[in-house]
Amino acid sequence: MIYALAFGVAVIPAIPILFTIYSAISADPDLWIRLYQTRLSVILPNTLKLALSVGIFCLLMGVSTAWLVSRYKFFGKRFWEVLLILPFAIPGYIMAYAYASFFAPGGPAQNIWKQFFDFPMPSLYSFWGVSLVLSFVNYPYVYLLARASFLNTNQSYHDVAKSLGASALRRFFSIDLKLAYPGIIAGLLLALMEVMADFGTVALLRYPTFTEAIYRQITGRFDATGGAALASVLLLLSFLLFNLEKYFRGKRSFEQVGGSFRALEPKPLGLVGSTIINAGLSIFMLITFFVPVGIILNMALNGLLSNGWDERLLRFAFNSLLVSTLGASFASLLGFVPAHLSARHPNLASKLIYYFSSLGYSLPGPVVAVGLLLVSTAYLNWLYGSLILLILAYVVRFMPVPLQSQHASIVSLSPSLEQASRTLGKGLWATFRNITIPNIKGGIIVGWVIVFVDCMKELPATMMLRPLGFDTLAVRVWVEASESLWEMASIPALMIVISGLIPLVIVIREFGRGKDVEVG
Amino acid sequence: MKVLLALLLAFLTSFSQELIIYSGRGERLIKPVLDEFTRRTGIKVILHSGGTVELFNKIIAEGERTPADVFMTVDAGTLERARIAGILEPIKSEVVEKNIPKDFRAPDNSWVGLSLRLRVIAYNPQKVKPTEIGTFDDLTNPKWKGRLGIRTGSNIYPQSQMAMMIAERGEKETEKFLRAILANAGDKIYPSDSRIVEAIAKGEIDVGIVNHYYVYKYLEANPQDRKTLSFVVPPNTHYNVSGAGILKTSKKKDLALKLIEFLASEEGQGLFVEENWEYPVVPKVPIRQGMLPRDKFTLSKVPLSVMGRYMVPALDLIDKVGYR
Repeated sequence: MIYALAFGVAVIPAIPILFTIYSAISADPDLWIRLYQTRLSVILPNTLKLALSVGIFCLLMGVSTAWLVSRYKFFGKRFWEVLLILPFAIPGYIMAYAYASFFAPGGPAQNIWKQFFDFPMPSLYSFWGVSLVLSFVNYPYVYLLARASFLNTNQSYHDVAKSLGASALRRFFSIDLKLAYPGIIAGLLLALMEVMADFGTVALLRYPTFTEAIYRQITGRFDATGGAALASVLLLLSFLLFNLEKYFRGKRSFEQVGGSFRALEPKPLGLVGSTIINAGLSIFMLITFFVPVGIILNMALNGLLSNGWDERLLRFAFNSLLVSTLGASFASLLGFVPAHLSARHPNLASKLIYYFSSLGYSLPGPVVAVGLLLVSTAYLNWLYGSLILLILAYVVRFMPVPLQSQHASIVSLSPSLEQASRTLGKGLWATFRNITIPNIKGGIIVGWVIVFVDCMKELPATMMLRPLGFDTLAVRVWVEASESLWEMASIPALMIVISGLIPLVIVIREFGRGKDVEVG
Repeated sequence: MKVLLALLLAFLTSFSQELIIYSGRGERLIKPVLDEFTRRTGIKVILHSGGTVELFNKIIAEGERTPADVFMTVDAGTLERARIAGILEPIKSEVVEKNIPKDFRAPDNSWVGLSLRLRVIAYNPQKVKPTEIGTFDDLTNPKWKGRLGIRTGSNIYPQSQMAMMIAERGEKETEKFLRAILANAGDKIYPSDSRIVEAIAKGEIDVGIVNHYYVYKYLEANPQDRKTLSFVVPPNTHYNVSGAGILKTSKKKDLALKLIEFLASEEGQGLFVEENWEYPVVPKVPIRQGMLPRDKFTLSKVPLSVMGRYMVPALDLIDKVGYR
């Protein structure tokens, strides 16, 4: 029974994937040729170039900050450790929007620039602009996993190497990096998956990549087959990253053979060193968090003072709450089945079911949307333009989150409790209701909250699947920002950033327990 | 009894006297025009505003069960695509055929143009001589690098312009033109025509390609900027119409026809001129004072229905050169 149910859940993400691939393969070869000439020849190199540069930036930012806070002891260290993950709360398109309004013609940055230089300011609407914005919001993946790995390094290794005369630089490369690299790579791959899936940033900054091309193929031409063809190529790329990430995550733990583990002893820094690090991190955090948030806050206040409260905002907020609540609830509910099955019956079948249920995480929003559009226009026409389709997209895309968090909680709950309940004659559902669920409440809540916020932020699938005129906060930010109506976008943007801070509280709590922080 | 029946009938008909319009036009302009229609005829109108292409897609996806009766757009290209898709009902109306010249409607009257808009070159007279910008091709001159502003490529206006240009001179030449324009514009790509006009008036850029009425509307609101904002109409300029069609699936085609006839009447046409500085498609309707007279410019020889056939090649071209 539970196998059948779990199988049913695992099939949900598979349907849009299979439909996408099927209609891409059965597409007319002429379509592929035309797509190659007009789209793929532009977006494929663009996407790869972007992934490369964001990857390098994320490594530089993530590894160096993780190194500083794990290896050194300085004034304000605890504070920075937590602060460094804050950019996670800002979706890429909101970061892009904040900076675009700041650098806009006639905006504050241009005016300052004009007073000092007589050549034009470098444009944000460029490869480097997009690269930097995407790096600012995604480096925390690398930071978190690199920090966790650095903290796991044994102090004895360093002591031995030092006694043998290895320089600090040498020790960094041959001990720390060598031991931490699987974690760092896993973080990097998560960041790259986000880059592949990003739609809002590249669309707002007019840098054509896959997601934006798929979106335009659907909304500009309603060419679902062309959209599916592009989506299938992107699917291939992110599927590759997804499995690589799983591989590196598995490799991450180096076994300690004998001897005792001595946690790393951070090196205390003097006044000068502390000051330099504090200054450096302050500048970094200003750029990646405080300035963009300040820009949005400033615009929101100005807007409120000059135009007053816009009544429609309540409706947008309500719409966001509605779809996010539904999305998070259904994802949590459905995720429970495969999570429980694979935790209690770890065999090949349940592992496969678990793997397929978590596939959605590798699917960029536009790909999910294309897949569901294909299904609905072919078989379920009445679904098109209804909320059901949108909620389904959220479930497909975000179910892996509660799956993971519930799985972890169930594993740590002893099966004997459930068995006792069953032996006492209680049915499966009664056992779930009275024993399992109350005991894994923590995992359920964490998963629910993270999906809720992910839905709040989600842009491309929402844009493509929402009912006509159904505006959410994310949609409003995008619509207003892409019309350069900067101030109009500020309050919805602020609401999204604030909601984005909620799951960070969870991550930060895990920090204190020294546990490995699960991200993504 | 008879009275009751009559009342019931009146109730029923008033209930069904309701037109559903999918409109790609700005709500601010079209709402007063539709309100006027309701005031005169008692026919209620439900307006669904959205992006032109988005709405077209929606009608296609909804298929038979679409609730829309009338489809209104800001361009003839999308209407022509709708005609090709077979979702529009040819309009049989003496008013339409008498008032609206053939050039501004589909050959089979599947759609009718309602107001005329010109694509023009706006400029700052303090920095640019009108002789420097006689044609759109003049804007490919490298001297406009950093001084030219254009609209985003996802918008229907540049898309239609490229479609008409492909019809005029073929894809190769159009691609050359577009690449040169993009090189000159750099990152001066604006999300709306009104932003381009404002940028010229404020000195950010010197020239730009816009629809004519954006200049008039800006100057109406900011008369002090007359010295820094004007426009020229290139000979045989790119033009387009806003228009409407009746859906085949509509169950209220008679009411829909009344709406189209109202919009094609002198009163309806006058509203487009007064509210939005557009040219009427009905020749005898007077234009506003301050508007360039009809005999002072010429339109491209490409008929709108022909332009519609080049919309997809135009989209391909825009994607190919990475125009966003």
